[in-house]
Amino acid sequence: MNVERIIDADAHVTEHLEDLIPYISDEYDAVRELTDGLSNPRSTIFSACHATPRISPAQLGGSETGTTDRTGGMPAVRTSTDKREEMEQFDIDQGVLSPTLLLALNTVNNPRYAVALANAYNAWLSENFLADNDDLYGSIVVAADRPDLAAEEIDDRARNDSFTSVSLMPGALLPPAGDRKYDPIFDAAQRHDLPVLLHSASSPLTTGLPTVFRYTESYAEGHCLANPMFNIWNMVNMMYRGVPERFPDLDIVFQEAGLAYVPYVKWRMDDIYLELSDEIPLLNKLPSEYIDDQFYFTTQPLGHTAQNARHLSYVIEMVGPDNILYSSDLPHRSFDPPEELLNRVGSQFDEATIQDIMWRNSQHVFGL
Amino acid sequence: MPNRYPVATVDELDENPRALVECDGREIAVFNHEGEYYALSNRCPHQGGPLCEGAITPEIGLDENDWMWTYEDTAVVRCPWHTWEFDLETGVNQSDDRYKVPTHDVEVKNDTVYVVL
Repeated sequence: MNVERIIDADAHVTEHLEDLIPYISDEYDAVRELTDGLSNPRSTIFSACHATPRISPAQLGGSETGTTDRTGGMPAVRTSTDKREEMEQFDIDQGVLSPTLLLALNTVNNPRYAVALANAYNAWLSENFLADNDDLYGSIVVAADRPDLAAEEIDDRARNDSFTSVSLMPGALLPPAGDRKYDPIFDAAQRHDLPVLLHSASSPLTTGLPTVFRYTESYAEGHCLANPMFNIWNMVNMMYRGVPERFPDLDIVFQEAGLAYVPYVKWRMDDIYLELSDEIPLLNKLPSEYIDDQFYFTTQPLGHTAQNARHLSYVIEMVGPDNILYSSDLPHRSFDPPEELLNRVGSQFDEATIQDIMWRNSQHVFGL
Repeated sequence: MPNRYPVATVDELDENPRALVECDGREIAVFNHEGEYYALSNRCPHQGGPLCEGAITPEIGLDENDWMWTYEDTAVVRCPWHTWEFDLETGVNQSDDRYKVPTHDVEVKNDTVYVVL
């Protein structure tokens, strides 16, 4: 079927530390000097890694590398031209940009570094991707350890209409997002009518779920477990601590764990709420009703849904078609092109529902 | 009578060991891997990624103790999109043999390489 437009609600850029360093503000001069020229920032500033490297052709004996090297690494998206070429290849019209390196921002122990890097990313994104266009939109990345400074950053960046959301990473977010310490972030986002995005990732297993990390022995194990674990943990925590009740105009978007975990968590949260509501006094309705009203889920990674075409449709029905935002995750290696969703469910729903999922819901949530 | 579609000369496929040709509306990836020619459909059955751009590597297996990784003799082409692996010779997916990429015969005549349909 033809869709009028496709909005990617998780369109990555692949910022390198060296891209961000020139954008570290003068206030964080010392961080800039200490960071410049570091050969391995992922272990000296971040604590982000996997159990093993992903086995890639570049490391295999006798390998012959292909012409587009998605298998060894991933295509770089460090300029708006890179992103536009990729969007054109996959017929995507608009993208809400997500970082790559900063998915592991919460593994940065030192809050000065975390704040300096988050703010530098926002400045870099603003200058290199968001100027004079109506197809690329930014999310204000904030450092969780200083919610006061995060709120200032949101106030500052929100003046640029191209920033249409706030990103609080759920990977290694300690304590998780229901803690009152994050209220200034949610308050600022709500005040500026910006949704808060929680984008999970696997490299923050290191400090976020250290026991799980210690007992993964391959990239594949950590990659499989991390995203739903971080998202479920943060979703339950936010719900039972009353975030959607306390911030009733706040939209909350969970990214990068697909859809199929959501119905189970909704049922379980409702069930336990009904059994143990005395322990969850802040909520005034079923958790699933807050989810219907305020929570959104990006589609990727859908998983291997090919074996029964109807099953993905059931999942969409259970999650709620109004709460689903198509996402590609490009250029990351587990990306879903639009066809992965459209071919499977395009004929299972009426046309309006498909348009909603592919772009209209995102247009509404991000105010595009 | 089979149709022969010219791909390139032997010299050209020595110089650049992969080619993409259209044969009767079908996109076919042709590889020269260690002196042998292979022709597979260019379209990965997963999400349609272009196999002609994929890396060719040995298949990875385990030794007799299920302990150390080893390189098998089989060569696989790995889809550049999501690294699904297909046996260059048979087109069969290495993880689930229900997935198979169509393969085609390749012939050399007068220094020209042909795909035979």
